[in-house]
Parts: sequence; structure tokens; C-alpha cells
Amino acid sequence: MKRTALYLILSLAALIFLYPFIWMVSASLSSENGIRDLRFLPVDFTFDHYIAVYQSIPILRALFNSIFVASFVTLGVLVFGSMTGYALAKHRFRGRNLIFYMIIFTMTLPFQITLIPNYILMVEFQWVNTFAALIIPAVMNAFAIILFRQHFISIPNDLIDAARIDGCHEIRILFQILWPNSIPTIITVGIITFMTSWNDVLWPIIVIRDEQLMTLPQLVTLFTVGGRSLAQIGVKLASATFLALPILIAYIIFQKHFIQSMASTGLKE
Amino acid sequence: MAEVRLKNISKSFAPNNVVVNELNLHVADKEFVVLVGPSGCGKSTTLRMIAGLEDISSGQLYIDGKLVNDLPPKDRDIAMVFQNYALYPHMTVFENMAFGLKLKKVDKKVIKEVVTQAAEAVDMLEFLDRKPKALSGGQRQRVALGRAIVRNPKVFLFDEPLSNLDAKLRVQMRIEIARLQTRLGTTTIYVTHDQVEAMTMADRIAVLKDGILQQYDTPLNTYNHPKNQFVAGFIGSPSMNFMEVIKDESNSVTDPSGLFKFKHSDLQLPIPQGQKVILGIRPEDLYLEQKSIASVKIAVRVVAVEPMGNESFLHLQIGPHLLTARIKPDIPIAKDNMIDLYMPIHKIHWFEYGSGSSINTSN
Repeated sequence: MKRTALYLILSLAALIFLYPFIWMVSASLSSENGIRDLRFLPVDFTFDHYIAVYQSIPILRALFNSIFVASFVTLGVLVFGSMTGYALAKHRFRGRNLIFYMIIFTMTLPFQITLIPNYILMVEFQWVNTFAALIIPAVMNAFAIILFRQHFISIPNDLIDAARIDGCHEIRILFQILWPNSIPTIITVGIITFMTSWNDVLWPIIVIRDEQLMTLPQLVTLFTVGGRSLAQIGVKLASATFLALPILIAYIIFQKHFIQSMASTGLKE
Repeated sequence: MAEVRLKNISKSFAPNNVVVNELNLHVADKEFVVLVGPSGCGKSTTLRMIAGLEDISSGQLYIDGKLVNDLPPKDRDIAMVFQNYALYPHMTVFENMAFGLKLKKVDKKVIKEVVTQAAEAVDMLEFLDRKPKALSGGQRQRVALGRAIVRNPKVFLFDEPLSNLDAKLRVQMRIEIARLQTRLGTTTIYVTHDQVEAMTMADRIAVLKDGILQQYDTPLNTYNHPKNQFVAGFIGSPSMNFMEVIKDESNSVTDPSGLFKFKHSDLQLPIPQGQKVILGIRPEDLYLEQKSIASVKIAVRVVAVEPMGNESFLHLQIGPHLLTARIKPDIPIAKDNMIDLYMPIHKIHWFEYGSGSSINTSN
């Protein structure tokens, strides 16, 4: 009895979270007139909204841009985050703790504070309207550095010493000895970075104007709020569904790791 | 094979934090030297400096006659076995043992041959496909040993390799390491805090304290002729008994509070009268009966009896001093009794009060 009640409450909670998403998908497949009903299943089933989106904006190009940018950002964060984390965890040098505290400090700064200085930097480097503006500022990530540092501290120094005696240099130690023994941390950092990069809208809107270089969330946002969707809810919902689809597919594939990464956020494994 | 020479080697992590101080050590070719001492004495740091894992603050380090101060570990032609095995968890036993050779770009066929030979030597041939986590502690240490053998180094370095093993396995591995070293004839430097390992394995023992070499000698000389009170107390289990006494006449010493007096014509100490001195006697040199004419008798109270099966330890008290005696197991002695013990004078070690240096009484 108690168990049934518990499942009822949990199902209700799940429904509250899921309903807007289900409705979005259902409505995007309904005719414009059927959208106003709060139903689970599409009314007058149609793909018209998706066709309209496809014809109005370069959505496949934006999908490619997003995958390209998020993949390179993730790779960069994994490489540079683990390098910095390794140096902070296993190397003795003057100012090591100061650097670590400064990295933590940067985490406390809201994104909006560094927005304008970063933009000016992009202008000076002439990176505006290039992928460099989307990728390079994102590849150093304090959160990733901290997570890697904490994990590497737990790896015995003797393992690194043994690798040195075997003839490894620092880069090889990092990628051939430490990385294979840090898979959960790499997955955690990878998933969180990829999702953050994928969902970012504000920064791309500031540095990218060329439609051919826009990321998917940027393009969809500009499309839905920028007037080009001609106030048609169905088209807006179709583009939003398109935006959510890749992350949804990724979630289904990496479900276990997603949950692990959320549970271990900010914590040592 | 090679000799290792440490010339005035020092290591400091900060200006006032000297961990190893002006260490001079010569390890001959094929010799098995054990660095022993309490925690923080600098023995592991010394080993790590020899391995190239720690910078040398000052002094020169020679391996096979070549100055290696600035050489990275891989170019020193050494192999090291660590306390926690340090096996790569993501690699199989074979890959662990082959990794160093692979980095040296040795031919695959040669690698396979060498690894198989080494695995055979450490009795791990049937486990080559296993990952370290599927092995017991003893097997892991064998793999670590195999990995060291594969390199065919000039010098083996061992950093407390048996500390993580249980007592029985430790004895077994101790014998295996010693046997392997004899067979391969590789110069070996072995760090331990366990003086039983030091005594049983070493050709020579280097006893360290606070980064300073206290004595460098054969195990038996270290035991029988300790250079100072620290070495005397560190080597031997149960450790040597010490009593602070005062030389009051030419052939007698007394307890400072006058509780007892040892007087004998053979008791000749080359120190001025009235001077304090430390008397040291090993637990096995305290007898329940007089075995030598040149003995002094002391009356002690039995505080505790520890029967070990093959022997018994008596914990005794005389005035403020606590002593331990090692006796045969079948002698019935009860707690709280007063008993007489005999101390052969030629078995007594004398140390200077303050400096702790051994006093030579042979003249």
C-alpha cells in the first residue's frame, strides 16, 4: 500500500516534468489549429512545421556547427583541464596553491561579468564571426580542472614514478597512464562540457552574426523570438524539438554516465 | 652490473629542512645494501635521488663510474620496485612488464621472449593475461619484480617492497628476492624500516637517522659492534636495554640515585670518574645464572612475562629502569617476583652520555 502510494507520487512528479516536453513534441506534429488543446497525442498529424523550419533556416548546417563546436570544446576542455589538473595535483612548484585558488575564484564570477571583456578580446583578435570565438575561450574550464585535480590526487605517486622510470615523459604519463585510469572523471567532464557548450545561446549570439556559422540553439532562438517564425507556434515548437533531439539521443545512449556525472558534480568520486 | 657511489649527497626541501645530510656511501658491484632507519630518516629520499625521481640538492651520484646527477630516471639504467607495487591497473601483467621495453622500441619478438623469461623467473607465467586487480598482493609484487628484471638494469632499487604483505608472505618474498639477487648478481639497494629484513638480506646495512648515516657495516658487525646508542637500539628485537649510570670508582658504576652498584675488576671504562655513561645490554645477554666469571649481578623485579612459545620475554624493573630479558620458554618465573640476573661484562656496550657514541673498552 505504502509502495503504491510512493509510486503514485513519483509518477505524478515525473509527469509534471515530462508533460511540457511531451506536449512540445506532440504539438509540433499537430496542425496549427490543434495546438491549443493540451493533449498528449498530436491532433491532425502533420510534418508541415518541420518542413517549414527546414525551408526557413539552415538547420542542418547549424546542427553540424553545434556538433563541431561542442566536440572541439569538449576535447579542448578534457586535454587542457587534465593537463592543468595534473600539474596542480602532482607537481611541486612555487605558487601552485595560489594558482589553484585563483582558478576556484574564477568559478565564482558570473559569466555576465567577463562577457564584455571577453567580447573585446575577440574583437581585438579578429575572431568575431569565426569558430575560434566559440571554441577557444571555452577550452579552459575551472570546473574541469578542479575535477581532474581531485581525481589525480587520489592516484598514487608511485604509479607516476614507475612510468618515469619506464621512460615516459609528462605528456605520455598523462595520456597513457592517467587517462586510462580516469575514465569516470573524463566521462563526467565530457558530458557536462558537451551539454553546456551545446546549450549555450548568449555567447554565440554575441560573437556570431553569419547565419552559416550559427550554432543550433542560437539559430533556433533567433528564429523563434526574432520574428522569422511568423508567430506560428507549431514552427517554433518544431525547431525547439529539433534542438532537444540530439541531447535526447545522447541521453538515451549515455543514460548511466549522465546520472553518474550529475551525482558526482563537484564531488570527488 | 655496476657500483653506486654517493659523494656528499644532500637533499633539502626548504632552507631549514635538510632531509639527507652529506651522505657518503659506496655500494660495490653485485652488493646487496639495505638502507634502514625510522620513518623520516631520509632512506626513501636517498633511494629516490638514486632513481632520479628526486633532485639532488648537492653532492655527486655515480652509477657505474658515470656522474648521473642530471640524468632522467630512464637513462640511469635502474629498475625500481615500489611499496604499493605501482602496476598500471589498465594493463595486463604482460603489458605491465613489457611497457618499458615498448617505449624503448625493442622488437616485439624480443619483448615477448624477455617478458616470458622474467615471468618464469618470478613464477607468474600463467598470469600474463590477467590485470593487476585480479592478482593477490604477493602476485602483484612478483609482477613488479618481473617488471624490474625485464629491464636488465645495472642497479635494482627496492622501496619497502614487502611492507604491504602479510607476515608469512613477507618471509617467503624476502627469500625469493634475496635468491633472485644472488642469481642475477645485480647491484641492489633496498630500503626498509624492518630491521629483520635488513639483517637477513643485506651484505651491508646503512643505518640512517635524521638524514645522517650512523653506521655502514655488515649486519653482524652492526649488531655486535654498534657505533652509537641509536644503532644499538634500532638493530635488534627486542631492542637493547639502556641504563644511565655514573662511573664512581675505577672499576665500578652506580645508578645516579644510588639504587644499585656494579663493581668488577674487569669493568674498566676509559672515562673520568663522576661522569655519566650509558650502559647497554642486549636482552639475550641477561642470564638467570652466572655463565661467565666476569659478570655482575643485578636484582630485578619481574613486571611481566611474555611467553612466545620458542622463548619468553621478561619485562623487568630495577629502580627507574625497565629492562627486557630473553630466556628459555620452560623456566617458570612468575610476575612480581624478585630475581637475580647476570650480565657478562664483555657483553656490555658503553655509550657516551649525550653524544651516544660507542666507547671502546678493548684497551
